[in-house]
Amino acid sequence: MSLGPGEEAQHEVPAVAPPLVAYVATLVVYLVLGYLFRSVVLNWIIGPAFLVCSLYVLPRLLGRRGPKAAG
Amino acid sequence: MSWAAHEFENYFLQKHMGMKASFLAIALGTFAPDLFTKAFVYAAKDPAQFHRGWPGVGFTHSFIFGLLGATLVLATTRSRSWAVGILVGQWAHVLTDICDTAGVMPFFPFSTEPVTIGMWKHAASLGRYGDATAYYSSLGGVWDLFWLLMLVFFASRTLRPAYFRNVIVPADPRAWGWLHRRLHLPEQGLLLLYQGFCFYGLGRMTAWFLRARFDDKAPFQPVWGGPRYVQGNDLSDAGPLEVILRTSVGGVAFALFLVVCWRLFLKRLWLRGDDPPSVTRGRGLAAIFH
Repeated sequence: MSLGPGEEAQHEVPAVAPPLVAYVATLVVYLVLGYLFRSVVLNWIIGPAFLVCSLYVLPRLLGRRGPKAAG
Repeated sequence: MSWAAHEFENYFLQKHMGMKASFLAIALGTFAPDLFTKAFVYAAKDPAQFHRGWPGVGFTHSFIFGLLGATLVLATTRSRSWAVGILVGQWAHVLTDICDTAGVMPFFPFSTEPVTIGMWKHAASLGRYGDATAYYSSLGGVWDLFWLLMLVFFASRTLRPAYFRNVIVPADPRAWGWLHRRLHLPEQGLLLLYQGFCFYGLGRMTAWFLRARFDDKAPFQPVWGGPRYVQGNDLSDAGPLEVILRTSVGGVAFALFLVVCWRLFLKRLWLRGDDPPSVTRGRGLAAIFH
């Protein structure tokens, strides 16, 4: 990935996205939480950050591997 | 007001702007009109007037507010892709909010006449939850679905890892690099953050819709000007011709104002601005919008 101002964009894409089932499961969890705790969950801060917290931050905090990367 | 449509629009705009606009700036631009005002809207005596009118904070839903934000960003950061992103995102928000009954003042301060097509009722007077329920009981919910389908059918590639790597990051390497270092997020984490706006749009759209149907048991009335159980709250009683005339005069004055600003200082700011190394721009308006 190109992250520095002078770096060129990389065109080969290794697997970085979690599998689709992980997205679907996270969405279901978000919907349930959103339905039950709307004021806490359905807002501009928690909402956009929920995906990265669920599929990246939380698995690492729990000391487990995150979802296997898919091609 | 629109709810999830503002999240889905970001990707659609990004697809058309390519590397010329930062996605994070577009997202911030679409949030900007409501960012500091929405919390006060529901507590206001007349929420529609406060949110969209003048006197009130309706100027946040005008083109000049986006221009001001973009100019400040260009002057302080010199980043063209951020300035363009803020401008395009905020203007998209303004245009989208024309659909509800409160409308917007696009050419404030040259015209304070609200412009609206009255597709669904602005229901902030019902409080946040009542507003959401009314929105997802009207054509507003259908509007969100429309933008979700536009994203799925015409811009779904913007959600893919390859697009993130080859377009999103190169268009704004400084901001993504900062997030990478500051939050200790590798590429997967940044990708999830990027996709998170779409996820949030889909999640809030579905959750609010379900609550409206099963918890609040509000009638689903996707008809023009619905839902019928909400009182009308138009901010102006002017007829269509009056609105067209005042808005046209405001539009011409705003266009002249743009030209004057461009000649006085915007051109100088633009020319001293920077682009990320992989971004190429043409001349004239194509450099900004195409």
